[in-house]
Amino acid sequence: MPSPETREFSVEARQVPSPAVKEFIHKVVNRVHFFPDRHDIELELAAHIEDSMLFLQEEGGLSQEEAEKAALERMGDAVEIGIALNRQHNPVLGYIWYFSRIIAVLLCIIVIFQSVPMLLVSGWTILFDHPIRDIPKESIVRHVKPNELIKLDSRRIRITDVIQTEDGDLHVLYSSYNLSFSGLHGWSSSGLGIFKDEDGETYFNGGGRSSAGIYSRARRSLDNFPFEKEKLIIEWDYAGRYYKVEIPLGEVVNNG
Amino acid sequence: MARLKKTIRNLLLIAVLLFLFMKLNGLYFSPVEALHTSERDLHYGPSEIIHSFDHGKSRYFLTRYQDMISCSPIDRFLGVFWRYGAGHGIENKKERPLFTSYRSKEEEWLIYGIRNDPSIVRVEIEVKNAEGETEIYSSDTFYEDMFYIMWEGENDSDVLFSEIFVGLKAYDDKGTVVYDSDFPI
Repeated sequence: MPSPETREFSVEARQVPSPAVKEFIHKVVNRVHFFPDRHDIELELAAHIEDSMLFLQEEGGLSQEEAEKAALERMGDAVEIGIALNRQHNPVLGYIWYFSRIIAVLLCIIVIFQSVPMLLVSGWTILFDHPIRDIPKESIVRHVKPNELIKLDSRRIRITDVIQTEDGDLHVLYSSYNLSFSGLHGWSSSGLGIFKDEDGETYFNGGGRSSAGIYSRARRSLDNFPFEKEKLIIEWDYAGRYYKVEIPLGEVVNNG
Repeated sequence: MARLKKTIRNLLLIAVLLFLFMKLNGLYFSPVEALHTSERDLHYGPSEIIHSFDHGKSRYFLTRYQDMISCSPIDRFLGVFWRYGAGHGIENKKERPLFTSYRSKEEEWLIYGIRNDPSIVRVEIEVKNAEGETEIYSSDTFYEDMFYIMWEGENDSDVLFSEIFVGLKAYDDKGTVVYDSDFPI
């Protein structure tokens, strides 16, 4: 097959095929069942016939009509050529190749459009969006780094920091991702469980925030956690799942 | 031969891209797999499927897990996929002869539940339609004590269930009211 560049050049330079040549080519390509290849075959046959005609005119001294007739005779039976070309341009393989190319390109576009925003959000979270920046350093009175990994179904949660500020708020900072990639389409549980102290007192009031994406970082803040408490206990006990994490909070230091 | 190689390359690329497309959109080839994956990501289940039925573009699963029940719809997508995204349960209050919950999606309303009193053979719900008239829907089919009633009503973006709900009754085989509730939760 000629390359697209040479084909374009040769088509412009060549003459328009005569009705007899057109009919011959038509008979040949009618036997080729893989339609997308028909145009290339038409161009190739036309070029071949024209080359043959030119040769016969120049070397054999034939007129154009005689050269055309002789060139077509040399080509052989159009139907047989068509059958042979159909075998060569296998329509089953041809159509699988043709549609697989279209499907692959479409899927590629869809996946890129869908995944790029998610990857950008996750990249932003990993590089720049750490909730520890929400907490003014000068207000910290207790700071521990438990680095505790919790496995809850396919979700992985790492408690990175527990920080108490001078106003009594206790901030639990954690990162999480899901091995089932549910974060990709926004379907996942983001809770951490029930917060207690060593005496069993539970803490619900507070706020927090969480980033979106495959990998998220979150802050859960508990209002008025007593300074005298030594432990934070995070417990999950629901629907057959259980975990309990005990985090020693250390000494309260007035860094002011 | 070059075309064969290109075709194999394309098919491999399609397999990888299809996997990513399905992950990105929460799609599965099996509705049961979609349901159980959704449940797992909500740290629930896998629930026992008591009964399933198709309605519209969704397959609904009446399920039970520990003391909880659910009726989760899994939506069909592009003909061959099932979209992940439902599957949490509500705790069965066993002190009630009949425990029910409800869900809605646009014009489709669904009440489902479980009979804790085995003498119950029929459940009846009264709801208001768009004209304010009362309509009665009932079911006498139980699947391991679970049941559902589905009906078409006003769009759920226009009304709350509490605004259309009139009453819920459960009857025994003699037609005696065993349970009569003003609100189904």
